[in-house]
Amino acid sequence: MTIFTTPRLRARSLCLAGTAFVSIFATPAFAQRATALPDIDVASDALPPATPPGARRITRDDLDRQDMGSSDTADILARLPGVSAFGAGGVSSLPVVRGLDNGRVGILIDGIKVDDACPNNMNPPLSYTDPQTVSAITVVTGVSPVSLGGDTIGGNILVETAQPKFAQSGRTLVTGNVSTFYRSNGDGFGGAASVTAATDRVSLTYDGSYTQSDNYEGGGNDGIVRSTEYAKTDHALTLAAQTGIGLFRVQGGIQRAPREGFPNQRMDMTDNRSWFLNGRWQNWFAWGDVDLTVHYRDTDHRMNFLADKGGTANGGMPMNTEVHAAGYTLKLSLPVSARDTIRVGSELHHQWLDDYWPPVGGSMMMGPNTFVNVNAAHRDRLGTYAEWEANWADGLTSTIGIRNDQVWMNTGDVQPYGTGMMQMADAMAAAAFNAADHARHDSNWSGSALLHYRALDGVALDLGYAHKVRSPNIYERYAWGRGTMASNMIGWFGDGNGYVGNLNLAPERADTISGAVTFIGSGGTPWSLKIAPWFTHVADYIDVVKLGDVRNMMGMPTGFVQLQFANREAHFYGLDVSGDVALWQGTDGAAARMSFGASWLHGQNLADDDPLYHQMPFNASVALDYANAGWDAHAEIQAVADKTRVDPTRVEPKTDGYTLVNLGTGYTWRGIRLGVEVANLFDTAYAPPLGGQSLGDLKATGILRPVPGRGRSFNLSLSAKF
Amino acid sequence: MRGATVAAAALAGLSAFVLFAAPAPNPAAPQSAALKTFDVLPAEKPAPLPAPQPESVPTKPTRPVRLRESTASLPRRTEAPSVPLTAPHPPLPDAAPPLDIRLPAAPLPPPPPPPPREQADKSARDAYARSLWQRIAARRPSGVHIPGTAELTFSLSASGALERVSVTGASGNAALDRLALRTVRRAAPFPAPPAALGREPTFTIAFRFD
Repeated sequence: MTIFTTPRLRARSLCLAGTAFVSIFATPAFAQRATALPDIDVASDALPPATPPGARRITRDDLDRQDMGSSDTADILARLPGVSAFGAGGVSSLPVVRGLDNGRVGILIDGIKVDDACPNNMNPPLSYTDPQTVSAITVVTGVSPVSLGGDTIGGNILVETAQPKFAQSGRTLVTGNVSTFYRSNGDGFGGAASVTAATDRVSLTYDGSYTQSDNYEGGGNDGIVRSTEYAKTDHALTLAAQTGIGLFRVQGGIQRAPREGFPNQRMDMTDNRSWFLNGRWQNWFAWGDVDLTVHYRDTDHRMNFLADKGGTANGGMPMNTEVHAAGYTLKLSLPVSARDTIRVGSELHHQWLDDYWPPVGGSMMMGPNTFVNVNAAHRDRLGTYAEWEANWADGLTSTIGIRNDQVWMNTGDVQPYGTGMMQMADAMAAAAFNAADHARHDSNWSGSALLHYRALDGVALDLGYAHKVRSPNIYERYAWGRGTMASNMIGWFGDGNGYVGNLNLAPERADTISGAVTFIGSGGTPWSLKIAPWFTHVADYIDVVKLGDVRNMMGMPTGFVQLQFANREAHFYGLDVSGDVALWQGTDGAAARMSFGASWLHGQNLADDDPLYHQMPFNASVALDYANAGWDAHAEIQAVADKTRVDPTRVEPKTDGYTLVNLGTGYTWRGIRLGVEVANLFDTAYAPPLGGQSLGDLKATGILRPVPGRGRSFNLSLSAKF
Repeated sequence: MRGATVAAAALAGLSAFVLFAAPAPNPAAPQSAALKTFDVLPAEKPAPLPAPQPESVPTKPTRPVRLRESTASLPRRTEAPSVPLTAPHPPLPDAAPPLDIRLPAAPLPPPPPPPPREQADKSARDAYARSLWQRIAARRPSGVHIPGTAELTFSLSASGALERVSVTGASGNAALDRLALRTVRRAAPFPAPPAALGREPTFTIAFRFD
């Protein structure tokens, strides 16, 4: 399962490639001849420009072996050291990088930020991707340069969907792949197709996928986990053209997700419709590179109750969110000397969001008016950066950058469902909110400095420092409801608590130091080992303060609490270790390899000296991969320690440690691959530490438990490339 | 909505441009006026690239480092260096990003043992070529998703300065040719070539964009 590329293999290739020069100059009369050096391969699947050399790259080949097990891109990424995920819907987990969650991580789809469009963050950026069709993913867990994006304080997740393919000169090209899968647990199935028709000048690509699942069963005796069903489909067309003035791309697409249960939320997603249109122009000149992207996305999002939470026969509780986003990114890369490259860029991102909850006929609480949760808010950001990369002598590379992001936010007046006695808390809160000035402007300065040093053959050092700033999102600033029900509808933490926004929030400012030392061994048994410590301090960290207990109709505490976003102070530190060993190498790519990874971190709220919320306990994995003459196989053990450090403010549950075993194999013949996998081989009962509370089960059974993890599943996949 | 309108208008313009501007063929790589072209045959051509094949196996096909040697004779240089680079060359960089070279599928047959003097010269030449190649490879571009092969020929002065560089095998896409030229120029100046390479050593190198 964990077949991620590692620096070791590439570096080893470099070492051994050197030996290939041995016979270049065998001819004595050399001076009369032009010497042909070996070709330079400029691989399109290399790390994107400006990405730190320590970044992880997950290729299509890697995903081919993992997409049968999950339709959730974030869930697949959570296997990487330093990456974890908040549990959510079946395709909507929220990635966490070194303790910093989804909203603090720079997530770009084809270089474009996708805005959250839901008070529960049910449609996060990665939910618009499907592991069946993603081309590649780059993950930066450590310090990243400012050119990779602003308004974030954590790492980066850079997803590439289908890149244009062109035919060789004078030819035509028709290529693509189709795939399908089945998962026994939840009767999940899906399929995808990617087809490109191209000449050497024009390329047209269609990508489409569909996936659905019923509720899955937890391991052991955990039974059905309610509200875990989902269905969604994505389609995109990409037209690209090579012209005399550069490479042009126009991509448009739609998503429809008619249902997605959220086991740890009080609501479910009952519809999500989104379409987008992007344009991109790239050209490479003698003086530098130009990369211009313009983008637009429109999303209509609906929440209500799926059957497990009562359905909508009596109206349920409709909640609608509409979002429009538009903007541009302009990047210039200027190689000003043999040593130096200057990168400058500008980026404008406009987000418009309307969030309203129609009244429910006959309901005392949800009527008679529309609850206006967010009234035509906008959040506009203008980012500007300059970065200097220098390749110094003796294997030293430095990248230093500075960036400014101007953020303007505002929103209109709001209103509660009504002004009855049961709605008084919201009515008073609305009045107070409307009396306040909503306009906010932040000027956020960020900077980053990275060093990469190949100290010796087989030893590389990375060191980075960054000061980064993120402004609050729309819900953190503008969610205003103080009634129990209204605040319970806000939050993406999967804990059942109620959240209230805060107009007085300041941007959070993070200082991060990260390092890594990588050892690469060659010889008969190639191996690699990477040890990466890191530390982050966040001033004005946007956490919460408790407003009070949530009480039932009888006035008794429910065990849940009402919280308000507030600026606090926090620090995080941790260690990621990863590596691999080549156990056996045959001919024609045959090999057996063992890889391993482990992560440990410690997050502390310095304002109240409590553990920070939703921090992953120690976890580790070991995987064996084997490939030979069309056969491939893998065995993986994942182990997670007890989660005992929990945030008392949010009533975070403790979870027990667990160990999972996954086995799989596949056979490839003439481009057709059949894969078989058993996930959670021993049907172990477990609760993912960041999975949240199982509110779907609570509604049906009255028993509150952490969301159980998926039990044993037999997975099949079939794919064909042509 | 204003931003959406602007973006939509920009996209519409871009789409129209793509449809009407493409294709703009690039029959031959444009040569910079400042560049001089060698009056030589290109080095031994690399084997023609195979037609795009589906990636039908889980592991990428290995692409061995091919060793080639030109049989073209070099003319006498008759013009001043077109790319005078006088700065002393810095020490060899060892900061190359991970290089994605594929190993030969099968070991190359050992050459017949040369005489001792030739052996020493050969070692020096091998070491120099390796450093040259690494220096260029360390500066290769990324993020390009256009296939094509651009072949360059370049010569060096006795000090390692880049005397001339030109496209001797156009890729069919001017941007790729420019990228290849830019990469070699950025890698210069090179270390002083060993005496065993003779005067004004000349090299060919192909950039294979996939």
